[in-house]
Amino acid sequence: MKNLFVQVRNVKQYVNVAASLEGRNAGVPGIALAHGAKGLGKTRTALWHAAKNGAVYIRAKSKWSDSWMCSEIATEIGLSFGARPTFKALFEGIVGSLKERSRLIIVDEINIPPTSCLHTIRDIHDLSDNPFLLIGHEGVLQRLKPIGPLFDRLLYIQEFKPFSYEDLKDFAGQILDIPATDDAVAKVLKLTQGSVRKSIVLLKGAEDRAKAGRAATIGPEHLPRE
Amino acid sequence: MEKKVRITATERMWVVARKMTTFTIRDIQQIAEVPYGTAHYFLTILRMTGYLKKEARKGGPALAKWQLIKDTGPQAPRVTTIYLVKDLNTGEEFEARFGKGQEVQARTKNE
Repeated sequence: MKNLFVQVRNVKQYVNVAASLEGRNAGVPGIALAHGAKGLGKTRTALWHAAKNGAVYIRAKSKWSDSWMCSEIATEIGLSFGARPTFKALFEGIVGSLKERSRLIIVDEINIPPTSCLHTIRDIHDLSDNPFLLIGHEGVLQRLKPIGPLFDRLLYIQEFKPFSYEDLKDFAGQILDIPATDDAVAKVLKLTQGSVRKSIVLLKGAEDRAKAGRAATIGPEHLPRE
Repeated sequence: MEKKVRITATERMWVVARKMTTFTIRDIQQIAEVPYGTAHYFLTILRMTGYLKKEARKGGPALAKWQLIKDTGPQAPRVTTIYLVKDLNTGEEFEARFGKGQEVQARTKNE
């Protein structure tokens, strides 16, 4: 199995959302949300994109205060303050810096921080016009909908979806050393319900068994029984 | 939005190492899109200099778990190669640094 980052449909959509946020016209809000169930590759995609494009990636914390969140953002954008800076100093420093050099800020696990942090993100966005891409798992829409001023600014809402048959076939074709038959792909899809993580595990096991048996293709017989 | 600058392999690997709680060499290879050897070299150097810890696992080095224990900030540490040449005739020592552009800069160690 090749160790590749495969750009499946979810990844391509994510890249388009990020590019659209960065290239949006003046006056258009610049916050987007990417959400989906666990195990669909949201965090991996965000990290891959951030590392490749120099975006800022931070992971939200459940006990975040506004100051803690701002101090993390400040560190990531290269600002340094003295010991125990005030929230006002942090906030103004971040807004000033992002006005000078705008860069996409990705906030992962957006389900968990206190609501005040979400309002602060909106404030930073409004005052600096800097794009934010929020990432959350199941239930994030219900969490954000009541926060009208933030929810209204969501320019895109992208859902990470489980693999479809075509996604899985494309994915398997790119990472496997031995080709998988259509029946094998269909069986993996049935067994994993399209979970990216589970599909990788099953495909790896099937490929190992096929290699051990010197098979030319991976068939349903190399997969566990349903 | 200002023009994007080119992100180096070291910078990509540093982002992944900082942001993943634990990771394998294969994670770095895949997410930072670098060859296995590059990832292995980078992680090994950072481990030797106290930035990373490694927890060996059965099944070989590719499965070992790594963790960043010294996160000094978003700027990636620059790994340079230094060779020391000692002239036993004169007692002089020279440092040869292989850095950006692979140029060799020889200078006496105590300069």
